[in-house]
Amino acid sequence: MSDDFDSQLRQLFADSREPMDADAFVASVQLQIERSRRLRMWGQLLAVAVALIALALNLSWALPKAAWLVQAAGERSSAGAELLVTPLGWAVSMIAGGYVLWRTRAARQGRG
Amino acid sequence: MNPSVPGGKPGSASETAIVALAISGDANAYGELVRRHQQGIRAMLRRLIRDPALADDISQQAFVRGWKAIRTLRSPAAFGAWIRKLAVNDWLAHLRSRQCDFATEDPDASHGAATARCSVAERLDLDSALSRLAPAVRLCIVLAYSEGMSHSEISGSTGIPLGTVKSHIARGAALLRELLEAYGDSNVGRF
Repeated sequence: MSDDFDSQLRQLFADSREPMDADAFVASVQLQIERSRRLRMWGQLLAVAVALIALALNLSWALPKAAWLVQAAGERSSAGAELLVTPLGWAVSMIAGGYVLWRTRAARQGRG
Repeated sequence: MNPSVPGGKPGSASETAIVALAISGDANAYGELVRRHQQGIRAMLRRLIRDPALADDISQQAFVRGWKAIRTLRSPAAFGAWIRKLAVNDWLAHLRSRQCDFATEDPDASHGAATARCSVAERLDLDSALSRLAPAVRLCIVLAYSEGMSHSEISGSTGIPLGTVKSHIARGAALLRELLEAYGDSNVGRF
């Protein structure tokens, strides 16, 4: 204690400390920790179960949609790749790149 | 309770090693930390709250919260100060839940004062004298005299400005001396 405190008062605080039962307290804390861990584990298991059930119920709808999405993304990316090699595509990509750089610098300046 | 410190008994392992184990998820290591720090935390809260059962409940709550949040502890060496801060925050939350103004009044204070008045003929101990202080003043006094913290440590730990901490401690100590002198308890005969 670096500051100048009343030594008599400090002594009084030290003298009036009472012994406390550590074992019961520690056991109680460990019990609560165990309970909260178990609760969290059950919560996670429940969330996974709900997600699996929801997926199973919607599988007949989700599978064709997923296939359609993958196909559409593939078609668009091939069209985009062809566009990129044209002068127009190159110009558009340069503008987009410049915009991303400008936004990044603005965000960094804003943080600083 | 036996944290798996290589080649060491739980009591002999260094605190930093035990904290590191607890951060990695070792519940036994955290149990050892609870064992080492429970006395200080409970004693501090018993000074702040006159009800020992409630003080122990809040201590337990702080240790359980500490277990859940220990991964956020940046410096293993600072575990003691960190868990004390959690305990103080839990006490402040308890005060807020009772709509108590931390800086000025405490619903328990009137009860404490009444108790003190009733027991004048019998005994006014340190705890009942403490209960007559405003919570903010009591917190500063307990951290200074019971926990041995400096003004700046108290300010850093509680967020109370340094000047306010100094005035709380000076004012609180003067009031405590006054109360203890007035009642001339055998415990405070040296005053």
